[in-house]
Amino acid sequence: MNATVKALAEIGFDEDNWGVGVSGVVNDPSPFPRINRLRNWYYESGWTVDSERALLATEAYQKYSDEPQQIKVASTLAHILRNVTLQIADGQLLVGDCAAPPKSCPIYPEFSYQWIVNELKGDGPPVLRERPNNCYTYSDKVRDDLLGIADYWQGKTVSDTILSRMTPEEMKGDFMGIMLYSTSLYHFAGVGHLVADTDRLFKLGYAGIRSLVQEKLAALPEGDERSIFYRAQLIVLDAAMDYIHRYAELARSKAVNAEGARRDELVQMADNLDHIAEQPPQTFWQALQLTHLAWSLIIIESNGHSVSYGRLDQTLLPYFQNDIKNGVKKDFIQEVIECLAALNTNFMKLRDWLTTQANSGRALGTSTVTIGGVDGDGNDATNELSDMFIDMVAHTRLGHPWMAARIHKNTPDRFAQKIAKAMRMGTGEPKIFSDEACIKAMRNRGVSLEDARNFVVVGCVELSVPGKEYGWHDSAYFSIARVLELAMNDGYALGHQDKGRLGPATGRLEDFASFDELKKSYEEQMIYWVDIHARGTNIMDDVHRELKPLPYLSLLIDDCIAKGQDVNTGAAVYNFTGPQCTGVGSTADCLSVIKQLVFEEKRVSAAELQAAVQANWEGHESLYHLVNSDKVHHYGNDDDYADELAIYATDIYCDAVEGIPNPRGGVFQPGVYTVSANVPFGMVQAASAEGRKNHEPLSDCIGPVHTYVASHDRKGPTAVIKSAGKLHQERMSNGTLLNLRFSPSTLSGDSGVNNLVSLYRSYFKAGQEMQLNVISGALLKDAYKNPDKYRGLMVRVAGYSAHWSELSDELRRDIMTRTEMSFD
Amino acid sequence: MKRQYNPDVAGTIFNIQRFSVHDGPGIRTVVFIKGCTLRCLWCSNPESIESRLQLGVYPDRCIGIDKCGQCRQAAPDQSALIVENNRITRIESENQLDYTVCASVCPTNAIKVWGQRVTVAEVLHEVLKDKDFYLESGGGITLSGGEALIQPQFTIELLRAARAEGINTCMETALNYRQKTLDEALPLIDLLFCDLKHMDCEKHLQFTAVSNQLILANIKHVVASGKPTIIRIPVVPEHNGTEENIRATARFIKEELNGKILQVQLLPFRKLGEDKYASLGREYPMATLVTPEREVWEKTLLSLAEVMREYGVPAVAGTNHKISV
Repeated sequence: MNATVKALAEIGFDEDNWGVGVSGVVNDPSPFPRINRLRNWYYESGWTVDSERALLATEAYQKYSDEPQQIKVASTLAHILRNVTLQIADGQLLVGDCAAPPKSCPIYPEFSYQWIVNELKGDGPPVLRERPNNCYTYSDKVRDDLLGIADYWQGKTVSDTILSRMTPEEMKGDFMGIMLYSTSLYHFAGVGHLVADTDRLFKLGYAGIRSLVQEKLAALPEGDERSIFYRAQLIVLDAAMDYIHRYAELARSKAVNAEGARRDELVQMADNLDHIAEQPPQTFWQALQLTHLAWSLIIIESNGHSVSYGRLDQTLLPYFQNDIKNGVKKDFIQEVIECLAALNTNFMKLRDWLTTQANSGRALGTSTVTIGGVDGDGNDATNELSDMFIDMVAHTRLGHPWMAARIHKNTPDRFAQKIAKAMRMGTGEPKIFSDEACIKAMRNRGVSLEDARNFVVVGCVELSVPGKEYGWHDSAYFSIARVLELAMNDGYALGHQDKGRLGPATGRLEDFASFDELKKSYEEQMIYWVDIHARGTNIMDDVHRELKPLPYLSLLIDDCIAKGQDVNTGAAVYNFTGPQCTGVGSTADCLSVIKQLVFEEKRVSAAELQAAVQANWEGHESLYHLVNSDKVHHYGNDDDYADELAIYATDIYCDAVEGIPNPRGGVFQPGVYTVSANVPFGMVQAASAEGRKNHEPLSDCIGPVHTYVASHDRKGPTAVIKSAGKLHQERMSNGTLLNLRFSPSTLSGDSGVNNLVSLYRSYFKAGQEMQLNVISGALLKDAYKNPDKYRGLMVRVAGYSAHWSELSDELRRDIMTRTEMSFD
Repeated sequence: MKRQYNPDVAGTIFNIQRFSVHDGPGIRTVVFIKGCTLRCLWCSNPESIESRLQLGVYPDRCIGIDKCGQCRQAAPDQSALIVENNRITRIESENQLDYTVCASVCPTNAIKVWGQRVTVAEVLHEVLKDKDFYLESGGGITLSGGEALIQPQFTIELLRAARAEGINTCMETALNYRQKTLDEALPLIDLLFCDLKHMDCEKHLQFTAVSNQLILANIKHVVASGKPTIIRIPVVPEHNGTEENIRATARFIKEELNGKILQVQLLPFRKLGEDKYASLGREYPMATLVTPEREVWEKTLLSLAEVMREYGVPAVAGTNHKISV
């Protein structure tokens, strides 16, 4: 190690020097110069759109148009893998892109295409390359190429087909209607949200899996239609092996012109790639490389998001231990791990203009690494690699891949403290999960104890069983705040009276004689809207099964090979559909205002309250401030009056969702988190009685309300945590999310670490997940004025972190209004 | 079973603050007792000084008499409410507390009651809400003020109640009262914070309106009793923040206390509480004091801590250093 590396290493490896609230606003955080160079490249290069995948997919769809759908999509993936341009970044030790250059978005026309055409033309939304935020550039040639295939895809996409099957009733509440809920994610793109099985891949290699599939095919009786499935699998297996050999060739050709150590690295990379193209990995480097390639192929096949890496500190541990025994330096393994972050951060996904207003940040934004937790027997599984992945977060500060740390009651204090030190840096990573609460929730859905103990996080906060689950997590955002609005207005939506009555006629608040009558109305509306939302979701499920089989993914999810069936048909061991509700705090406070002020204190009549809301509070300033004041019970203050209403509001939602069947033989399971959907769901909703104005964001995830004039939580983080912990989280098996924001001074020093660990350990007796922003209000204000000054500043949006400079104005403002937990 | 404390004793507090992480080890709930025996010029909690309930008025928070006017409807005598530019600015009445009804209807807390009469049982109920966090973090209850022992019967019952519930107890005090009161409280306290505002008797009198004689005697008494003690010094520029005073303090700790204290915490002075003075209709005594930027005072505190450490005194800047009792 030369002198420079050593000096940096002293800073980089000392977790007490990581900083508090400094986020990514540091230069060269890694002890490895190569990582800092790759990180700087990321910050200095632009975002683009690439047409290659779209053109290759179109060619293949035309060429194989007469083949069965499974063969058509398999041949399409094969065509892409054999022809797409490959890249190896200077200095990288790992390879594997998403069928596009780094920081460039590949296009998946088979899922949806009309919106891309519209945005290329500026037909409605701003022209894609002129967007004020989330802007991507491209040449005229790329634009013309993409417009040139528009006619072909007309009417053929997953999205077009879903639309053609939905009835007006199924659309009126969805994103094409009043957006009480939105099924838009899988309407326009793939599903994702899973972790593939690497055990079999590590044991057999692609060649071994090929033999397995070949045997299955050979054993089929003549004319068995499952032969189509196995033939499709063989097509993608051959293409996957060729694809990895292509990377080996590229590395070797680059080695010719490289010098010294870099030449040796490239030669070793080529050897590694040729080996893992077919055979099981032998070293840590090979195993991580194979994990990443296997993951990237899932993403090239389908652009579902939150395809995750799984428990890398468990799956890679034998290779790590073996390497160390064979004399491989631990620092080298650390460097390879950090290369994964630098590579992963360059994966991009194009999102439509509306989505970027709420869910912004230019990134793929998906892949979670899960570390820590218990093993299948319930013993602590935290190990040296768990630490090294946390070091990766501190050394790269890129926000990718997402990091989820599992904590349980026997998590060693040392590791718990290290997690706290990483969290207080303020990048929003890692987010932390309670083994006790998460395992309990999964057991409630019939997941076996051993599988539940092996849970992984996929996406923001969703829980999944690696290699065994196709969970359709994140299937829809569903606003319970809007359900309450219709429950107060006889099934009409405020601002949409012209559309007529949309929900059942359940009466108006003015006519209710008691609070119980309002509850009854809310319960009836909930069942109605959850049911039709599920019908719409199930139509999407059918269309994905018919149009977009996933032969590659089906290699890596049990029991697809054994059953000879695609993962879309219900061949996975666990099949769920997971919608998540939004507006918990808003709904609870709205109920609280009505219960306290209208029915108990009679300080205001129902008619006055309704009139104030309908007037957007104009002319009702006194009432507006009263409902936003500490004179009303509010959720988030450890006040049973309001907290019980939050429990009620979410229980009714869970009652309605639990157990609805999906077409894959599984059931719906409720989640309670918004990610950042509280912003767009607020945008489409008129004012509401908890003191929200027209179009103001709803409360986020399971957090308290913060409106333009007041944060409704006033008693600090222990009170918020206790309120959130009272919700019946064991029912919320599709995940829950709690955002907290701290000022740096609260978490600094040894006492700050101790207090943060105590906070989350207390919450984790009942709560599933917690994540932090650690940043001072003053710094956020400055960053709001001068976003470019803070290029490394990352903030926790909800289930994910994003660079501040990438966020839409609405989202920045929403984050600024979150209560800063400090009494400094 | 013999009752370990009397839950019905009442006292006046002005705040209960959960998740306090700067006033003792771990996560704590601080109960602020209303009333003080000192009159420090730099006091940032003017509402803490008098033991009685007081009304505060914040004109900036008033949304306008024309839009609201609830205080007028509730007031015993409307003419006592002084309105300027359509906003409530003060209440002119001999019997201020007759106007607490105005505070209870005001939707923005533009009129606010400073202080609250509560029983030991009521405070304990609030404090127990975070018991889980105390147990995880080594935290507990901290009694502060004002002067924590200005309502001795109430404070001592609170300490007894906390003890009975197995909660760690800290008390933050200026020590300006009879030793007998102190001796009653001391056995119920796990860790004591006491302020040392100036070593010079004259200056102490000038800045806090009381002499430091009793305070210094009490500190010696506390430390001699073996009670774990942390000394806090609010470092106020142009007042006590001189190297001379800091050296004098260090010498006192070394020579008179035999260095037997856990920590000396040097705390920055920041201009807070100006709006609270205004709400009480008082001038802010430190209005003209020029305070340095954060970078400057951070350096000052660190170098003053260094000075104290020359005397073997365990001085630190700020409150985030681990306390090992």
